Amino acid sequence: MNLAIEHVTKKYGNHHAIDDISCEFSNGVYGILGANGSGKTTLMRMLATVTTPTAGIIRVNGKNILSLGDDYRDMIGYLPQHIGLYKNFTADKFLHYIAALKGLSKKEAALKIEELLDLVNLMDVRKKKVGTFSGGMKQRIGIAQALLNDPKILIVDEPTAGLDPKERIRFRNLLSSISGERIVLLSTHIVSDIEFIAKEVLILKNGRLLHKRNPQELLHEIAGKVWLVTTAESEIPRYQDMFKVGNIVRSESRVELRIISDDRPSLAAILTTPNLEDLYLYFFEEDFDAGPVKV
Amino acid sequence: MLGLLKFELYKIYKQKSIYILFALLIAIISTGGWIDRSSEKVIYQGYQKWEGKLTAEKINKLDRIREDGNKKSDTGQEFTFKEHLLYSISMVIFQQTNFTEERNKEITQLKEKIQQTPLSYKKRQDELKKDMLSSIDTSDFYYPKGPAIMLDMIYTFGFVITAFMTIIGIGPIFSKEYSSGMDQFLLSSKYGRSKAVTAKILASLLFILSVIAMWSLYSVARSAYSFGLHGWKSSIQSVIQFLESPYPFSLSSAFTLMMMIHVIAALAFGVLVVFISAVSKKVIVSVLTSGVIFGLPLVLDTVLDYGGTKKVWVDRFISFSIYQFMKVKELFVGFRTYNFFGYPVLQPILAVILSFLTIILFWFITQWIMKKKQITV
Ligand SMILES: Nc1ncnc2c1ncn2[C@@H]1O[C@H](COP(=O)(O)OP(=O)(O)O)[C@@H](O)[C@H]1O
Ligand SMILES: [Mg+2]
Repeated sequence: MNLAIEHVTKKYGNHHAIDDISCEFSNGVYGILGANGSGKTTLMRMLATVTTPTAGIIRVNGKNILSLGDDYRDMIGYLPQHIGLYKNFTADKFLHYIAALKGLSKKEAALKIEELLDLVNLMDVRKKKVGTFSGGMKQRIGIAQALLNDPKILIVDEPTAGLDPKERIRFRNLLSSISGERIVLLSTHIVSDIEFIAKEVLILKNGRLLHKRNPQELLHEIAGKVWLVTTAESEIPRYQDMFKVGNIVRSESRVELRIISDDRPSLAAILTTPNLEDLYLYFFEEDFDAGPVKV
Repeated sequence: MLGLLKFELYKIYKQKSIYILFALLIAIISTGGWIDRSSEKVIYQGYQKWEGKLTAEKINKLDRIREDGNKKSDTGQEFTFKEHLLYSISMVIFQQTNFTEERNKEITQLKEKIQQTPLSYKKRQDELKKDMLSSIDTSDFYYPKGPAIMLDMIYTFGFVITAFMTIIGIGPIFSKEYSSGMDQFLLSSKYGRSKAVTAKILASLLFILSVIAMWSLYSVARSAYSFGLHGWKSSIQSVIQFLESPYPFSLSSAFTLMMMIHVIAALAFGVLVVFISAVSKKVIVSVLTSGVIFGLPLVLDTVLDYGGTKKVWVDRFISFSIYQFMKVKELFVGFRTYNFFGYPVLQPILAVILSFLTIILFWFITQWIMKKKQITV
């Protein structure tokens, strides 16, 4: 399976939500990392054919996805960022409906739904109306519907938003367990979602693709730029003014700051091994969101 | 396909609003129409004596009754119930025989005209009218109250019920998907842009048929209860609203035909509403737009009927509106034809053709739009 994005641009009015992006995907998990408004959703919508590029072509195995039409849609599973559900449908009914939309026979659907409800741990609420579901449950049923047709290309847009840390881990494991024979595209602005499962990370900023590399190579990019500084609590504002400050760890009277900087921020600073969070901070200084604590 | 159809039907019938609206509409029309059966029975017995062939003998007798009645009413004398009933029967028959005479006169005139005019649209039109008028058979008379009430239901309340239920029940069919975010699933799934659209249209049409079935069953039940199921052999001209109708129908064929036309026009309106919903981001926009398309000609028609003369183009606009097609009545009250390459096409036939064209056209456009559709928010 080969998915290729060729010079794709999406404009809303004069604004480039996606600006001339080209890249290729083969089987495996890809993390699309970017701050809010960087164009993740727009890119995924084009991949899901719910919106069309202003310019450029997306091909699967060499064929334009828009000419493939329903045949392409048969290959994909899509979990939108903001999912709408029929409030009055039970989980079961909702999944049966999506299965019908995806062209599964009633028998196939029943089997698959059984399997997926188990996978996303919603078996005991299958007869409950989705209107009563919590954010996390909605997200999980969203994942289940995306997987109904055993998609060769799975497109999930910020799937971990609204999940608690435990659900998050469960979801991460779920994704990596099903990623074998398919392309999984996962967008997030939370680094820990993709840190260990992504084959490659795409860094999106203002609609442009800054990087597409495997996490190790990306980390290489900021090797020698991540520092630990131990200092007094009162010094924090001064460092925050001058540098990109990540984690702050407090211990008794002292604090340890994690600083991303090309130059040594202070004489006492010591170099440390970069992680993806540092990378994110490096690229997206503004709205930094390290996500929940890693467990 | 069947699976998708079931889901679409389920979604339509799951809407509480349609039940509330239907109950409300039925409640409104139930305020009248269920009448005192015993007095109706006496009236029917009064008419029964005169049913069947209107012989010269019957007509003579009724003429005398009418003249006596006229004298009585001129001098201000009281009628007994029986006298009054007989008097009204004589009036009804008088009106009809009068009109039969006038019709015969018109047929003679038309024949003369046809001989004088060269082959043309006008001549064909006259020939058509002459043939239709000659086929009218009012020599039999049957008490037509029951069928008349059922016909009446179509063009007083029935068509409004169908339209309102369609607007409320079908108006959200696509726009609700857009506003709820479900469109993302529809538009990214294998059949969401094709079979699901067909399923939505079919479900809408089935819903409309069920609505029509419901109110017409109600109407038949009410009419059968109050007036019995007789009088169907009488001519359409025996119902006062159609006294001047040039269509040679018995009440049974008129009712069947008018119901069929109502159904076809209603389906056309249904497909139109589905289309409007497909291009409306919000339910309220979809519902209001459909409401205006149906309601504007209705309001114009009602207002202008009281306000006097209509401009020609307004009249055209109203007579070609979906409102008029669904109401059916006006298609049959007079003789109206349209010139198609020199041949006259009767208005009801044109209405049916236009309704079918509407169905085909907007069905096709809706499928096409959904193929190309991008999500809206
Ligand atoms: N339907 C739309 N109309 C206008 N602008 C849009 C629309 N969708 C997205 N945008 C703009 O495109 C940019 C990218 O948005 P989006 O793809 O949602 O980013 P992300 O998912 O990374 O938060 C933003 O600036 C957003 O305001
Ligand atoms: Mg987004």
